[in-house]
Amino acid sequence: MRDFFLVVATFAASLVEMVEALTIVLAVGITKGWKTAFSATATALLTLGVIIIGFGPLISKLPLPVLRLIVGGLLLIFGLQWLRKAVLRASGLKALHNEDQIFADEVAALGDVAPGKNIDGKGFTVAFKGVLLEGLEVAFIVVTFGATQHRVGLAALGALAAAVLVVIVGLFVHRPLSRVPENSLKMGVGVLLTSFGTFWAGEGVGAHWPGGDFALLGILAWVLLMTGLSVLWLRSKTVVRA
Amino acid sequence: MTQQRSWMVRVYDAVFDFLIGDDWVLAVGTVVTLGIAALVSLVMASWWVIVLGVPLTLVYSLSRALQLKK
Repeated sequence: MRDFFLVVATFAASLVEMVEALTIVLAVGITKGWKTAFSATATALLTLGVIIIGFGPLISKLPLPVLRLIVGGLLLIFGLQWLRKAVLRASGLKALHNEDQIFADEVAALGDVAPGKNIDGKGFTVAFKGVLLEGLEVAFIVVTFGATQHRVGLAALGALAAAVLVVIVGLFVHRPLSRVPENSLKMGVGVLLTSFGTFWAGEGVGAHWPGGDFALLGILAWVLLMTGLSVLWLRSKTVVRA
Repeated sequence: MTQQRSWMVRVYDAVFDFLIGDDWVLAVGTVVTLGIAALVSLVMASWWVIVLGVPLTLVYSLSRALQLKK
């Protein structure tokens, strides 16, 4: 059960972040040339690989209760951040993520100079930063989720599957993937991160969950219920104000 | 010196944004909830502290966002 959620969480989180990164890479590729876009992407992925290889085994060496407390606490904070954004978007208090608009903004910011044969410094920086920053969240989720369950490989597999999917679709459509239900995915990942974070951080501070591992399902249902009620509550407030 | 400082400020901003995000209440609420749960677990079962503290933290953060929008 844990393995299933592990793959689902890393796949969905990676999908969301990769779609955002793809938008930036496409904008750089079209305005500054594909050489710039691909070299920046490759450098950023290499940097992320070094981070995962460097921190993965390091985190795994921590004693299990300490690992669960640190990782659980961080996942909890991270999950709540994702949930907050998703709930605010679902209730209309925050604008939905619009990949087409972001793509247009990036293209405008990069300028309309025809792409040259050499690597463009500005384009490289934008693509590198975009892939690295979006990828860091994925790396964090892969390393922490994987390390706590001693399944970093499985977690990385979920992320890799999402990366392959986004790259293949991106190569075919050659435009931002604006039809991916990003907010729903983000909410789903937020629920999973918050639930796992609650469970592990709880064990880390010495709480004994009733039902053992099965408590995770109860926590998942509880977080889902709270998220749904939060959306309804905020929507009612927005409607009253309107 | 100024260049070095601005580089450090940028790194600090990136780390802060990564860990704290849009609302610091989420991070502080999480730490406080876990702290209380750790203390409670010394005398009795403490899982319920986390189960209540986490959604309360989220709801408080959302209510702050709602207030800011008003």
